[in-house]
Amino acid sequence: MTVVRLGRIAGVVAVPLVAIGLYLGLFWAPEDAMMGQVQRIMYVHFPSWIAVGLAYLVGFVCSVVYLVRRNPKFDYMAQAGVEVGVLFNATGLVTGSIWGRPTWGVWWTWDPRLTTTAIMLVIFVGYLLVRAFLDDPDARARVGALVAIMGFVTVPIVYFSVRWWRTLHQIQSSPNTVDHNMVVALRVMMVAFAAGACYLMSRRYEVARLEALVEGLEYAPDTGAGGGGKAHG
Amino acid sequence: MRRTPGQAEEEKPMDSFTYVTAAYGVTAVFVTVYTWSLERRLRRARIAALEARHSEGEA
Repeated sequence: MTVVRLGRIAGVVAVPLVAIGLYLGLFWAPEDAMMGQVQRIMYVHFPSWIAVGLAYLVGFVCSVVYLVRRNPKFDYMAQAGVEVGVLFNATGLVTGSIWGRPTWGVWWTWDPRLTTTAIMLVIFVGYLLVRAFLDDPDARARVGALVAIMGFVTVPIVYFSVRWWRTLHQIQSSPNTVDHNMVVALRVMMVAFAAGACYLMSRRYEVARLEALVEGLEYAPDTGAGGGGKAHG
Repeated sequence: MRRTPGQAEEEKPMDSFTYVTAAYGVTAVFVTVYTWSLERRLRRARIAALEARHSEGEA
């Protein structure tokens, strides 16, 4: 099954799930006892981070595979993963900031979770900039892959930051301590965002593939002869 | 109203509805704008690829 076909299936799944998830999150799930209605921001905030994790993981894995096999398809997929990850990283930060204002009293604070998340965004925006500024397609793919691999180091740091440095941001909640309806609404939105991210990645993959075709870079997968970079005209 | 130096800015707290609408609205705008721009890029890339193939066939 091709990436494009898988993406289409993900898109078909994502649309009704987003609609159902919005209904569940905004109307069906109960109001939080402590935060009240503001807690409903969780149903877009947390799923954004699920999409970020998935997209950056795709970027990381495809970058590693690209460096090993030098198959351009993995470079296209890595670009797609990072770009979609940056999108949801931005939505996650902004929705978190909006949630932080009524909860913590500030739009932004240099809390370890927020700071590491912002650093992660800057690194992956750097990936996109590096690719935009490099003219040599081979160097673009190789340097991009290295930046994506280094950038992915921030993902576990972001995840564990709330446990390593206990400050303002809460640690991960357990479904056992949360109302069942809240868990259902959250899980539906998580799957919806993950499917949406897959759809967007497939579209971005197709853009990268066609751009490379136009650039005259559609070459046969490298057989690995010489072990070095792929020669290009 | 003029504030005297050092006087803290009084900010009216917004209600929950405003914050929730802002969070969902921002997410919707970001995703919609990105999807729209992606579809535009895809359309352009398809046209460029067709033109490249066409010119290659002529040559």
